[in-house]
Amino acid sequence: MSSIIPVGPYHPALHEPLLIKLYVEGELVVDVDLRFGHVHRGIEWLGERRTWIQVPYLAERICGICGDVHRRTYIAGVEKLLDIEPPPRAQYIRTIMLELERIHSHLLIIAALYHAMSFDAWFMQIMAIREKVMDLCEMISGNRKHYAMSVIGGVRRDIPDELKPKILKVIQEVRDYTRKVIIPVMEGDKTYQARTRQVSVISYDDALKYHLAGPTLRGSGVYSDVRYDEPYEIYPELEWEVVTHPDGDNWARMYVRAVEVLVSCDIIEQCVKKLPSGDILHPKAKPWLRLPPRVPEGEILSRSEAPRGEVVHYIRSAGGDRPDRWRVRVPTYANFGGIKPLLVGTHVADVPISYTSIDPCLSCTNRFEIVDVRTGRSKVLTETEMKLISRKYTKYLRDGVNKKVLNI
Amino acid sequence: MSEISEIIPPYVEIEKDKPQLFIKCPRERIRDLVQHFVKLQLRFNTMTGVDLKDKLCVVYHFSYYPIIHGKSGVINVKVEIPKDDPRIPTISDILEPAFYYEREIWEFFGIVFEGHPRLEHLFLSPDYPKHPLRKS
Repeated sequence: MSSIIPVGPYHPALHEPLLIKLYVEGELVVDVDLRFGHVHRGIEWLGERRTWIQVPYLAERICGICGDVHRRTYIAGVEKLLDIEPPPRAQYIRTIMLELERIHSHLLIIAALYHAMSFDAWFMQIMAIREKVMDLCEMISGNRKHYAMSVIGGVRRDIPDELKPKILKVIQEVRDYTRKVIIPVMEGDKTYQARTRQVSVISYDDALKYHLAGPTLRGSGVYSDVRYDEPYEIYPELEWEVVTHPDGDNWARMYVRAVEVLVSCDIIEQCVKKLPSGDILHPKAKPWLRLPPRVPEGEILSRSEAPRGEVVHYIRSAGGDRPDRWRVRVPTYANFGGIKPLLVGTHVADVPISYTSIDPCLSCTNRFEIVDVRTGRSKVLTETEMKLISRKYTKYLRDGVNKKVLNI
Repeated sequence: MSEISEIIPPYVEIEKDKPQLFIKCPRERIRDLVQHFVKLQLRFNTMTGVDLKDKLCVVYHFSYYPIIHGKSGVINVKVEIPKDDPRIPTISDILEPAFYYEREIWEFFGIVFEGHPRLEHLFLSPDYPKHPLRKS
């Protein structure tokens, strides 16, 4: 920590470096400490110096996986301050993009969990099915990520009728795969269950006490989803259900995500079938594609349900052509509040899995530091070494499970 | 109005003409108010620091769980702080997640949370001298 980096991550956890200090006694984790800030980009500071129509592009780049939901949250807040509502067709298109994003984000984290557990065949297969969703996003918006679909007062691009069958076909493939492969493997595979069942249990009360978000909260049995709590876009008009599971362990959190993929498929299918005709942009909003609006004085808290949980944007206008204050709270930041009940009491080999189960981005988690409380020795493990420990443990368990099966 | 008065205690002031519920709380009473909200099991969304040019402000954002409270919506609690005396009592012992948010606000706005167990840098380098989101 002696190196000095003047700015650190604004979006602390997602795909950016993070230091987790694990205090262990033997194999058991007894305390955890976090330090973020290695790639802080000062996005809020930048946002206060950009106009209302420039900030959405910045907001979208907060996250490399769930960027669209940040863009939508910011724009919805500005729309409320301007007191306009996008036309219904635009709301349907926004919902389709948000749900496509949720599907590919959930598939990615399920794949990443299998990778952390050394089931690399599953990792490749799930990533292959995710690729079809990414191609679909590219067909609709022109980009695999950073769709830039929502603009103030509507959306930027329409979904033409000839794309509808393609969307429905991909959605059906994803649904079949999730229903026939992903969920049965979760429910049936003994090694997978041995690694995830009853590991890092967060109780219902703890989930409420630490104010967790998203599948981490719902995996502990709390019936809460911003799409249901404070409905936005066209969610209240659709038939869907909030997914919860009472167990609160790693298995429950991943199971909630897998079932949410099915729910998202249903939502997209309904949206595509019901998609109304009409404008995609509010008549007042046309000039705002190029010129920033004058937003009246006021402040607002805008919320959305990102794949990882609740995203909160606080937007304050002083009456000018740019925000006076723009503050972003991402779901992983909320979930880091619950990192202690999650990791304390687990084994070191379970840490990568428990950590993945709250769905942060692991790719840039540079290292874990292990301090042995009894000897005071400190040893820094790279992520690769950490994964090796996890993989060895899976192998050990798998052999154990196989032996048990043979004995029966 | 009667519904609101059950939840909002008398020592706070409700701001008018806002699209959402914004209330102003004196800084001495913020711990009482948060304790009251914790008892009601409101969801704690986040905390925001704001520089209002002539003074500083901390906004606490709470929301309802429809499954527990039977209604939805947000409650934003504003506490104004003079710039020459930027102090406010901590709530990190009542609400665990505030531990990180208070560190962040201290770092970016220089607001001292009295009684916070570890007011250290979170995002910026430990020797960073300024509070970068202040407007002056």
